[in-house]
Amino acid sequence: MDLLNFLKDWSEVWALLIPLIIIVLFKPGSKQIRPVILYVILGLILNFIATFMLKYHYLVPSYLYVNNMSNNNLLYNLHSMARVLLLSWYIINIKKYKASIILKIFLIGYLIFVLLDFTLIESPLFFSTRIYSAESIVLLIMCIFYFFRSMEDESRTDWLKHPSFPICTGIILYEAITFFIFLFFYPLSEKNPEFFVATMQIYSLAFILFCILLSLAFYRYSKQLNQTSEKL
Amino acid sequence: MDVTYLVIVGIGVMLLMVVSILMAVIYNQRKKNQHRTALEKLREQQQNQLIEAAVRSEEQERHRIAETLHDEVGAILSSAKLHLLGIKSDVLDERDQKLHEKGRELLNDVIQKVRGISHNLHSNILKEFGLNEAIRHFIKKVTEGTIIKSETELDDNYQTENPDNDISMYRMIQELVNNTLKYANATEFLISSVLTGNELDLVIFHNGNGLTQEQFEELRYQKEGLGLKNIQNRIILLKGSIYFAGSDEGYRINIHVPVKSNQS
Repeated sequence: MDLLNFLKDWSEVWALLIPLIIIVLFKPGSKQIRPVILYVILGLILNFIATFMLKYHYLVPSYLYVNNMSNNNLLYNLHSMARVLLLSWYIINIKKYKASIILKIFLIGYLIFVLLDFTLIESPLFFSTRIYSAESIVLLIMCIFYFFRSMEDESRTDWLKHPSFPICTGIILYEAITFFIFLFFYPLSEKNPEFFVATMQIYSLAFILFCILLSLAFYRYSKQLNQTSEKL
Repeated sequence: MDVTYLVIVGIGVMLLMVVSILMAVIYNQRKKNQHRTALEKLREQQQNQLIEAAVRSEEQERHRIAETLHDEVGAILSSAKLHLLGIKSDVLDERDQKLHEKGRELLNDVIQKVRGISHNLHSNILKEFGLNEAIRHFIKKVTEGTIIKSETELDDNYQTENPDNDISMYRMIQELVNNTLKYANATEFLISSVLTGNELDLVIFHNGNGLTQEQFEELRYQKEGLGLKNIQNRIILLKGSIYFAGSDEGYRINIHVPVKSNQS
């Protein structure tokens, strides 16, 4: 049971270790994938510190305490922002389209929203469900845009085999599951704490699935690189 | 509405939407793949039709030239020979007799050469006695009077199913044997064939310096490699395959041809 609890508590950390191991073992060298690699490394650091602060709160410096409680919310907020920026950067650059400008404008809108939210509405030291919901909206739109683009694209018929496919599938599944969980995060935790705990477990499972699909994409990128070098 | 139900319904709707999008993408990609496969098949079919037309027209042209040489040039030459023989050589002086003799020899040579070219362009043996006999005759003709030792081990179970295919196989053998004699410096070679079911395997084996598969692939795209290009076209036409291999013992050319596929 201890091991199960340990795995549950640290799931956000070890889940990101899966793609990291694939990166180390297979070395996907494509420039295109760099934002996602950066996200995995950054996400792992942020999640590790956040989980560490939760488990070993007595080691946390006092200035990070809010209402006499150890606070890792800033790290979760940062993680959410990193996910939006890095994964959007990746999706926009999969293939250049005129419509990519719309996505860039959309991303700038998100940044303005984050800035306004943290300066005018709430402190970044509090867990911002607005930021998480905005993340879901932005990434869902990015992924839907990607899938429609892949359907429109007549130049290639192997989108299902392209490494970007598992990444976008992972993102869209993760965001679709977590959108309503974070939208009703506080009301749910107050009105139905038991179900709230269950949703957190669903969230963990969605995150693990997302990480596995990222690993698959890294593996595909490394294979693609090997095939290209073989051809050369 | 209770927030719990709201979350459950919300997640359900979102997942349904995501699954629908993924299904649409997969369906779309499958459709595109089917379309691409159909297009590729059509392109291949068109390419084969073009090759077939080129090979057939080449064969028709060979036939026409062979007929002209045999029926017209050959006839005129034979007539010229008759006229020449009609001259009474005993009334000629010694110098004219020598010239008459030389002219007769040259005329005989030309008649033989024209006949040879005509037969080479259009083999009557192939038409009348089939592929095996045509190959045997051809090999005997090209190696007769040379130091080259040749042997044929052809499977007599093979019966002509499609005369056009036989012409293609014969032309390939002709081209490959001519190339071997010209470039490989071979002193021995063997031509064999084995019929297995509906598939015929022809093998040319020689002890000279032959081609490897890599060299063949390289040469057949060069302008000078017209003969090899023709071989490749005929292979495509016959839906067969050709493979070049070398070893310490010698070089081997394997031709694999399905012998009944073009009938349908």
